Amino acid sequence: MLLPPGIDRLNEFMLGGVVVGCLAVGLFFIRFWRRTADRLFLVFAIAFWTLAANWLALAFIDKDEVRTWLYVVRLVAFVLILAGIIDKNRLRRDERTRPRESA
Amino acid sequence: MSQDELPPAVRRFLDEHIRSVAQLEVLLLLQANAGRCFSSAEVGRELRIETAGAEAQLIDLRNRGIVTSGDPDPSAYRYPPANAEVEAAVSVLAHVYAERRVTVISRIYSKPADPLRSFADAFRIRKDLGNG
Amino acid sequence: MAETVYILCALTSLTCALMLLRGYSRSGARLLLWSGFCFIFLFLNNILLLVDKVMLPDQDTLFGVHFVLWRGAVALIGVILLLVGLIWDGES
Repeated sequence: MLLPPGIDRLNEFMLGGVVVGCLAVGLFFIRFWRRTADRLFLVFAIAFWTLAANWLALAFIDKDEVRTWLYVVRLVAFVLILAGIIDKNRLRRDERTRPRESA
Repeated sequence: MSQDELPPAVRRFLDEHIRSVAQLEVLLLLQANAGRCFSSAEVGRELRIETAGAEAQLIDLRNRGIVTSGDPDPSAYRYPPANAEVEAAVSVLAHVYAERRVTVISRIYSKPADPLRSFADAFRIRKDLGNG
Repeated sequence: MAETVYILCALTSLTCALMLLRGYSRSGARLLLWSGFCFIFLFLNNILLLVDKVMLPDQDTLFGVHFVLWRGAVALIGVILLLVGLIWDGES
């Protein structure tokens, strides 16, 4: 995809910022995961690193045929987040009510 | 005895300014005697605590802008400060403390919510789940 | 196919944003405010992708600014907001 050079440069600059930002965000989430042992943070870390990969690829890949497939990477990141949320809300075995307990 | 029943302004005031019951009692003593100047020795006598302790509380309250220290005598403390918002919050607090002491005290000593815990909890759809 | 993906991504972002902002109104933890806004911007990023690729495929610019710049700026702002929140309000 060909952009006018001024716009292309600005775009590359912003993408660079976003990639590094996402990497840093992921690192924070890894730290929080280690501190709290809550899987949700690990999920967010991987999701943001996946988004970083997505934008990194967008910065370097010019071939349109490949670029149009990059949405799959984006999808993976957001599906991961959804999975993390669902996982957080699933009742664990020991939390299920046990109605068959006799008096 | 739910802390959520405390008025939000009171909750905020407690969370932001009040670290101990001693501090609260000092504040409410000055508030009940609004306009009168107290020295830390007088406060210590009224509340039966050490002068040094009273002094520390008074200094902290003054630094937070909740009481003023006298001019020209900086060792004389009085309530109210110039801040109307603080006055309003404290007067509600005085009421609430009179009616629900234990709730207020629990609030003072409850740990501030860990932001990470709040982040994770934000994604809970139901509130009745255990530690997920 | 791509449309479905963009919509899903947008909805997920929006869901996260709403959950976090609701959590902020309940707990007052500022980290949730920052991250809530981050996901609002990610939501906008995905909506812009949708608008660009699916709704207005023949158009390159929006209000005179290239789509690419809109998307990049929005994503960058979102990530920066989250980073600020994590650094500044990530621990009590």
